[in-house]
Amino acid sequence: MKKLSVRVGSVTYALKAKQVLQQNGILASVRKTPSAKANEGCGYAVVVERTPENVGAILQRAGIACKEMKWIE
Amino acid sequence: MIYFDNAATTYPKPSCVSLAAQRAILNFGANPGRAGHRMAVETAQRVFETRCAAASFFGLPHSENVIFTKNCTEALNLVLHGLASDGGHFVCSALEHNAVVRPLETLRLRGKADWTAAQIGETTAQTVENFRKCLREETIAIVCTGASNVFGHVLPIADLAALAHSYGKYMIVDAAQTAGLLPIDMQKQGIDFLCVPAHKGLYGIMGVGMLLQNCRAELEPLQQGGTGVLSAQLTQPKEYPERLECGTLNVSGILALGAGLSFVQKTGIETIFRAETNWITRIRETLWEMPAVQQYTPVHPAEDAYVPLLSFNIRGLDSEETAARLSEQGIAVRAGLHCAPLAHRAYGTFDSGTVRICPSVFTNEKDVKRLLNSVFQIAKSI
Repeated sequence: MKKLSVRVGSVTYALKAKQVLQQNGILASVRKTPSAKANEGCGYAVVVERTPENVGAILQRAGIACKEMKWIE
Repeated sequence: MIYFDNAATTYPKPSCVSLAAQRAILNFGANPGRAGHRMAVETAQRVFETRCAAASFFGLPHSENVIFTKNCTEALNLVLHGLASDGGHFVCSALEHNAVVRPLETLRLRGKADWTAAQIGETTAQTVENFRKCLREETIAIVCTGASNVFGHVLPIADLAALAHSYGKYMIVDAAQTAGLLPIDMQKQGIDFLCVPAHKGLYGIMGVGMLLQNCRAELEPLQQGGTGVLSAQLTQPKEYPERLECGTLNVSGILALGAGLSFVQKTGIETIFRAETNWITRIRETLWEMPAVQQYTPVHPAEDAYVPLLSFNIRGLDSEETAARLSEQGIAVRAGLHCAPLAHRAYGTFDSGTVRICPSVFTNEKDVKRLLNSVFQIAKSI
């Protein structure tokens, strides 16, 4: 099943994103970014299994900047 | 040993704190925010939960603005050096600890920023006016202790914050002696930066402190290094808290702090304050009945004017000698200048120093009786 990976600024923001999403009834987990951009290096993402369309809006409302959103297997 | 040195660090610690530190070592031994394996993420989760608990405890809306440091002093250095700009100026109180004064003096000696100490007035209005007179156009912030670590005098933080903001300045608070004893709400009291030790009134262990930031300022980091993110860059990331938290965190200390926060919340700040104030009132009143004992604060102060600690001397005996004699009788107190020369100058005790007594939530009747009896015996022997 496809999952949505939302890359954020740090592990703290990834954990905050997970917390905010769970408060909105969306299950999420934290992962180290599997393929960080070469010019940035390490990073963290929050991964959402069932992807409601409002993930981005929820995170934005919580002040969490999404650096990248992409589908992963 | 009977322990009355709780202003330096509380002892003993609640069992939940010791257990949390032990559990951290046993179960959360990975480096948080570095790897992606299960224990690393679980450890990061526990650290994050402590961040959230601290933010909630101090009325800070954004948990990512809780910066873990190694102690309160580091938090103060972080904000003072981080805010200082060429030609800048800070105003502090005349009761500050060296954790505030030495960074300020270092900035002055480097030609970076000047500082002025405001005297404490008889009333809140006088104190605020004294601070107002010290403000300059180039003043960056008021930096102020919540309460004197030597005499317990509480400063009017909310009033001083209102003053600072009315002039467009930041308000920085050193909460070394007030966190866990007095209610602190950064939003309600207008505190922009709060510097906190884990190991005093929050009953955590030594080696952890916090800087909590409730404004948009971008602090310059004190040090640079690994943060676990944006590793390809040769400069510090901009995002908090990692920007200011490079290097491996003290996970066992942070999780113990989480347990300490929980202990204080469950016990109740007001309950702790009331219990300790009852002991210090009894000690103060009894010492006032000993002619050889000199005290420096009123026998019956207004309840919210002092945190529960006091300073005294036995006439004719050096403060360190008094402390040594008490130690021989199994009583732990601290004597000397308590790293607060400004406060001792303000109270006229710079040459002698004082002996400081500070109870904790674990102080009991037997401890107080032993202390008072020992002071009486030493005073009688002079």
